[in-house]
Amino acid sequence: MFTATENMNRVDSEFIFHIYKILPVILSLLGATLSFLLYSFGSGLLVQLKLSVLGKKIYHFFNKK
Amino acid sequence: MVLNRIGDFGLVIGILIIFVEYRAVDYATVFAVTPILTNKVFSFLSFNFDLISIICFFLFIGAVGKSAQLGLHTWLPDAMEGPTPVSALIHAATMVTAGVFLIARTSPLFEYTSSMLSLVTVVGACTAFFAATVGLLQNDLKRVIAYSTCSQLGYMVFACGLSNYSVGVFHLVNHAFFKALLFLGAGSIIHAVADEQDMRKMGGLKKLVPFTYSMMVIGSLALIGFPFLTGFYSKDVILEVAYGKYTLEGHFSYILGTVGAFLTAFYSTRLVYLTFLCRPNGYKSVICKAYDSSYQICISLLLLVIPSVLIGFYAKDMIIGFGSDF
Repeated sequence: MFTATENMNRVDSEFIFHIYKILPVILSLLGATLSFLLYSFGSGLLVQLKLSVLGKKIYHFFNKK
Repeated sequence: MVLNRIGDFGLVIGILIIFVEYRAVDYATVFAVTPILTNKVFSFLSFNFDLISIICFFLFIGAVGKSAQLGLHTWLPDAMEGPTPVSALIHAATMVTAGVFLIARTSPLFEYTSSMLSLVTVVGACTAFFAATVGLLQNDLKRVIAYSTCSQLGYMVFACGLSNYSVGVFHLVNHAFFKALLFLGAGSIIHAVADEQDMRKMGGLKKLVPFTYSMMVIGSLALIGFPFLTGFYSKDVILEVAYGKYTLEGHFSYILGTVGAFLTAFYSTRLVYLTFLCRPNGYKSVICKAYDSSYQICISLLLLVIPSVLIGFYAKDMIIGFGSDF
């Protein structure tokens, strides 16, 4: 594998702001927690959302080929 | 089938242009001559194209077809009709990653065309995000995992588009282990519930198939990038280099990749919850007879769970460490 000198940025990426480094991990943990809570305690809300006009449109959009 | 043929056609056209212009198709010759041909124009039907860009464009179409990137992605979930061990090998670990390998292997060509690198980055980032949104709404156990494969391939492709090929290959290696674990775990569940694949008809399997449950939880945690598991080491670096590029497409891929990570966590937890944790929703006769698979399947899951936890930590320095000539 070859990388042109001007395209190398691994070292630069070590020095980005700390928040941008941990943001994906925070969002991942948030997503897992939110999913668990929604399906545990808010399943009625999810059913309502799915049966709404907007919910049906989103569902059909993502399920069609 | 048709989508794969489109990808194959692109790959063949790319190889043909290489043969016409270089009079050779071996890597060593092509890579050695490429720096001399950077400004050469390729003429076809009185249209002029930059030679390296047009070659990379067609090679990338081949990669898009094979790695199920946005536009040519629908074949991958449809291929889930096949047996689960086949999905674990071909549709997770080996064949679909050929596109990523192609981009990484032909990096000496891609590195001379910034426009194509930008295209690779944008297509990869859009795939990572879009496949995650679709995976969120699937009810078939294997289709959820298939869309997650599609999404993770997007991460690998945009890592290559950002010229961090070794990082993309690192995610490829890590992904192979935890995705094979998830597929074989899914096969074990489907076997336990009389070939039912609809997650809405499962539930309550935690106590009935405890071993498969623990394997699926570990696989899902590795997939979502839970700290210090395998997926964490590669996904984290991919998003770091995306932001650290300080370009428009770098920030674009960082944002889509980060939102994609959120969605990945959401649908992975949904998968575990609907399958194992919620109240049983299937037929009583089926759920009551659910049992953990035979010891052969359990051993294969056990063999995959070890690298799914450890390979990221141990292979990091070897593949993407500073000074590594991998």
